[in-house]
Amino acid sequence: MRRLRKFWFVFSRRRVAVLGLVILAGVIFCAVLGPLLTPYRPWQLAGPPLLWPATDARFPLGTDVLGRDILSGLLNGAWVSLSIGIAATSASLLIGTTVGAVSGYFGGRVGDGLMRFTEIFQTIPSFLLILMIVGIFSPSLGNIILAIAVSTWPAVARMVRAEFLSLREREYVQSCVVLGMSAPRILITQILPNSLAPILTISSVMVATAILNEASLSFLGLGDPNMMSWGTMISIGRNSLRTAWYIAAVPGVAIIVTVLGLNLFGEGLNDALNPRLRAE
Amino acid sequence: MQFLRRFAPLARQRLWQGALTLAAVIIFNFVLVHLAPGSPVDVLAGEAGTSDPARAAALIKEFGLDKSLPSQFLDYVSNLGRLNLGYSYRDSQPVLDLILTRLPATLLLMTCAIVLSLAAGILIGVTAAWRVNTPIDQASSFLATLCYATPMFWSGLMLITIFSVKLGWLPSDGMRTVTFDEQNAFALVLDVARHLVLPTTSLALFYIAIYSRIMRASMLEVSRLDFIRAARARGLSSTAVYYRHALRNALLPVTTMAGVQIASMLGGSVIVETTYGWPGLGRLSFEAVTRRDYNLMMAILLISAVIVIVVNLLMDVLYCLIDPRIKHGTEEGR
Amino acid sequence: MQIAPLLSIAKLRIGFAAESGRADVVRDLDLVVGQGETVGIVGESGSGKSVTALAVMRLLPPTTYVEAATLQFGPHDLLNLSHREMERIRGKEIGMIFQEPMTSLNPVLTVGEHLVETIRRHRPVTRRAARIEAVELLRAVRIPDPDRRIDEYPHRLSGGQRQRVMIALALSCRPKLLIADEPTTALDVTVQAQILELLQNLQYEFGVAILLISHDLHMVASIAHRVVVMYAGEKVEEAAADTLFRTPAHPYTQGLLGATPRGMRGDDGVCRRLKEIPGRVPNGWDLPAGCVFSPRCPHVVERCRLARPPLYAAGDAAMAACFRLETS
Repeated sequence: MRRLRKFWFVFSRRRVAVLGLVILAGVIFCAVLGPLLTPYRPWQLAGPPLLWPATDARFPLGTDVLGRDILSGLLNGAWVSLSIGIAATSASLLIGTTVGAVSGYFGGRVGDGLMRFTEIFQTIPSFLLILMIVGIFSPSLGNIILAIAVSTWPAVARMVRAEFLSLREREYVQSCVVLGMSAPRILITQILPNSLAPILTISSVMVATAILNEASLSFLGLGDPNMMSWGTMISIGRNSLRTAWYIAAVPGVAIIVTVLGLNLFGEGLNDALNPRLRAE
Repeated sequence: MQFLRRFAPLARQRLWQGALTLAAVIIFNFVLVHLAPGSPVDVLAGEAGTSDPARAAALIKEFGLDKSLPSQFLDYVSNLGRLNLGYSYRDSQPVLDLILTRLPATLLLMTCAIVLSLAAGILIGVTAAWRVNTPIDQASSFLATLCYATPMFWSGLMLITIFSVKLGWLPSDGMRTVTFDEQNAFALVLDVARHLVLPTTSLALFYIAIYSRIMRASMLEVSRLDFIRAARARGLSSTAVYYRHALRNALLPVTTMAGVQIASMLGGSVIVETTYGWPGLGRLSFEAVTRRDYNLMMAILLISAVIVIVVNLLMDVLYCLIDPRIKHGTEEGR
Repeated sequence: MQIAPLLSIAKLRIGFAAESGRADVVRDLDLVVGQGETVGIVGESGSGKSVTALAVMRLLPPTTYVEAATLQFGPHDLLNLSHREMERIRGKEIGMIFQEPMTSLNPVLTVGEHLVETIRRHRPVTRRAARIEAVELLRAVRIPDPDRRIDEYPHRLSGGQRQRVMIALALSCRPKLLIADEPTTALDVTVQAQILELLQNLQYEFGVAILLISHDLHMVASIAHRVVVMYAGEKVEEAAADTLFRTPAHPYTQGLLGATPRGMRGDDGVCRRLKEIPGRVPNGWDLPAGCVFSPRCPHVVERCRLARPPLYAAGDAAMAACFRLETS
């Protein structure tokens, strides 16, 4: 509890970090409570098409080409973006941390080999890779999450490996080795808790990147066809730029605000977590 | 001359690394395609059609799919050695030719985007550091954070709405005006340039944000170093100290980051080219995915890796030119 | 012997503001450096000696404030010069070298580029002429093979060589005063002696006055004419170098002399233990009332804790801030 308070003290000193947290809370709120906030469903042809925002009280953000309520789509998109972002990031962190931990702690040829493997992913453009994976294995929710996770885990692995490489030289780890503690136990109980700080810090930014990637995929028409994502909405609005550019503009603003919130929150985490935990 | 002597061992190391990475990418390509659902014939023939069993058998034979996997791999590699990247049935031409037709457009777009993002990023970063903690600095920080959060396709559409649809100043589609009467070279260049403005801006905005922040941080850090104070103690003017002493040292991290971002920029070009109908590799890869032309996809992946490796090598050259301490890829400080 | 004063400082006060108030790191400092003289300022870290040097050069950050009754260099009132006028003084009239030669040179410029830039900044000289001068300067600071060395980058030079380059840079425009802030602290002992000898020779050749700042009393006393001892931002003693060395008047100076390794061997040739001065230097906020050295002084009496002692005469051209010197 005291740790939490100390964390908040440092975190809240940066106003933008608190702003990020507020935005994030707002997005989560919209995502979770979305269906309750509007009477329409995102795919439902609810009203007259091409209605501008703030012209009809029933559709505060207007309607799109086919008469779908934009606000409903927006709220549903929040849910899609957040869930894909969190799922992909979790998967990526899981894979990356495991590979990085093994590579960093055991080192040697295996460790170096694994790092060489991650270098491939540095050379291939990550969005191109995502595109190809989704293209080969067909666009579905699972594949999108998998594709994003596959393209982002190498960065996690590299960072975790660096952490573990340095932490394994610490005295408390050395003493556990001498005591005969098994390697997995050392990894999980000793080193991992102390390397959580950087992992947590990058997770926020990773969710933001995942959301951007998913939006790009949906914009290109490669998103899950059953899900109304922000990217899908923007691509729908692409053909109406002359008369109804708001259809493309509004979901874009939602993306910007969400990604912004996640980035600012991540910056706050960076300040609050890194020097503090290390000082302890 | 001294530069070449310094650079040779680094170049050798980088080329070797690049070759290894390329080999890994080739293997990766092969594995990925063979993981795809459906029979490999579907994969490789794309839309050529395999409904006719006789045709299917002929295709299997032609692609060597009846051989064992390792020998298939050897075939693939030897094909690569002869620069045979496969055949695209849809476009009825070898994949290599198809790629070579589209490559210049992407290179043009990327070069312009790199130049714009570095120039603007460095300028903004230096100015922000010069006027640190003033409204100019805070404003540029805020704008940078916004641009970093903006999806490229959205900024593309908004730019099109403003400059193409509403104002009519710039074209929004393709690289050349379709009804163009090629009279002279200058008019041609101007036409391409007009088409280049919006896509370059869309692609560069994200990286301007990154480079300006790095440049700002770098300038602030360098300004605190001892030799800056020593330079001031010799009575050098603030401008001289800032630009000749601080700036040259502060450029190093930005150069490194630019190299790292090349791969990301290639990915971004997919989105930007598709949004603007720019006839480059990015749009080609999108077409390849929608048409399930896996040959083409693999080839583009390979070419992208080559581009990234080559550009990184060039960045290393640049880095060596800027920093005289670099030798063998590590800093030598005594 | 009257020497024409070059640098005159009277009642110098340097401080910086923080959330908890204002802290003065230098208080009421009087200092005079004559033409061609070597004056040493000695003190441990926190004594304010480096800050004084930076204040003379006006190189302190804008958050610090510098006040003085007099801060005069020749005809120039240093406190009231504009930025541009000060830029003309720095390097041309007053040169400065710093403690860390390893990081005092720009890594992306050659030695020659440093020198040519500085020379051409202050005098209208062509590039070629400046380069010739630069080679001669390197020769003057005893850098071997200066024609080749001039095109080297700093990272190829040793610490001692880099410091020689710094000295060459500082003297390139024939300043009247050279401020040397801990010039040998970061160097090996053997190199230290070489640099000191170089400074003495250069003073003779160029006729430059030197303000030498260090924590090493023995080193300073070996080449300075006069020495000022500072403690916690105040001048506590000033005397001719050998007077200070032989008969230190202030308890702090006595402690310093006893605390250095060379001070271990007494006059009878017997080695004694290093005598430590117990306690720590106070910082700008925790100044004791009364004499600033009183918490650590072995001869402290009640009076010392109540009032600050002024500088009393302590022999021929010497002074110290200690009540024990008061003659009624």
